[in-house]
Amino acid sequence: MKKQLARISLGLLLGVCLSVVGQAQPKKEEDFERFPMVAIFRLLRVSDAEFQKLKGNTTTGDIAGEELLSTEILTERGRPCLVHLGRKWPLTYYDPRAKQYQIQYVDTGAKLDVSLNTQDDNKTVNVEMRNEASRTVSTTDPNQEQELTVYPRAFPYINEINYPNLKYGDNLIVSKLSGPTALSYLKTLGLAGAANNNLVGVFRVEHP
Amino acid sequence: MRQYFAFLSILLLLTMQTTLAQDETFKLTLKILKTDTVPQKRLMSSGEWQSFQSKSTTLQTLEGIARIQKPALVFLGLKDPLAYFSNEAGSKQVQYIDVGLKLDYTVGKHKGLYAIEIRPEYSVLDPTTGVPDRSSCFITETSFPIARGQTAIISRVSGKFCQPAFKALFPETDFGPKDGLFFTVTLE
Repeated sequence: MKKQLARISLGLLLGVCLSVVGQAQPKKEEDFERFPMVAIFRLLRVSDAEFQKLKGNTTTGDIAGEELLSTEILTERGRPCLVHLGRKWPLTYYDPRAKQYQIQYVDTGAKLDVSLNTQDDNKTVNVEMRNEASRTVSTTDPNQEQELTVYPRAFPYINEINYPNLKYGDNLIVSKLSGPTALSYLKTLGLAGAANNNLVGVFRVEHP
Repeated sequence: MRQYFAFLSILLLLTMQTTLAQDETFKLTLKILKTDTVPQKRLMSSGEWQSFQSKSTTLQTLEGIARIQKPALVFLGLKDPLAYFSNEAGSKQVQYIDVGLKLDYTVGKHKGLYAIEIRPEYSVLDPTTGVPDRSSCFITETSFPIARGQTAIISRVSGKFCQPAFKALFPETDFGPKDGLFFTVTLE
């Protein structure tokens, strides 16, 4: 009788304990590794000679130039992320359908949206990236210098790319710009010089 | 009988441990730093973090606690009202915009590490334009795996292009031409 009672109580206890342990387990763990990565975008002003030297989509060496902007973010495989330094600029308008005023924010400044993905060997990275370096400027009124409060004039520099199999540490040359438009952009930033007004956008992925 | 009790106590211990793990709690420390040093690593041990921190200036600090897999939020700042007339409601409506230091975060677990989903934001009303609803901001939204005790350099911005934004966000601080602005987080 005692033995039977002990068996029943053991069975009950086992059942209770196992159900508690079972409940405590996470429902479903993701079955992939979460590789951490660092995404870095740089906007460089380079000399004419350096500009001519840059051939092809990627380069392993360093690119000599003045770093106008560097934006980096720690992220992981398969997750979108963003970093934004600048202004949230409100545009107010009347929406007749909603019968009320609506506010829509326009982001200006330095912005980087990235989504990186990799295979299980984690050797190369598939890049989806959009970077922006925009500056809002004052309008020049002959009588008065002031910013327009409703519709600001923005000078954007935007890259939006999708690039496969980028190696860690390699520099992906996402854009090369020279000529009057690049000069005009640099003037807007107050960074134009007498020469070497060439812009190069570079993206890199590193191990953290 | 002894074996039976030994087995029973092991099972109970295992159950307790799992229940405790479910109630795991954390302290997160967010910092905004200024420095011209470029970090060699973005996931740092305590010693590496101390060394890096000694070369930088801390501009803002915020601490919060979290329970595993539960979203948390810390916000210190201003709720800036935007008032407008709604024809539909036939009355004035107010929408609030958060300005200040704000941290949304969730700490999860993944294969022996912790997985942070984090959105730090630092914003100030733009003093230059006089328009109340216009703000300058530094925002990051990301996720990554981290070990307890580590510090992560979440994001960094630097360069001449950023100087006006640095000044708008921290008007009292002098920024050198090579200075960068960092968001860092420590999990303890």
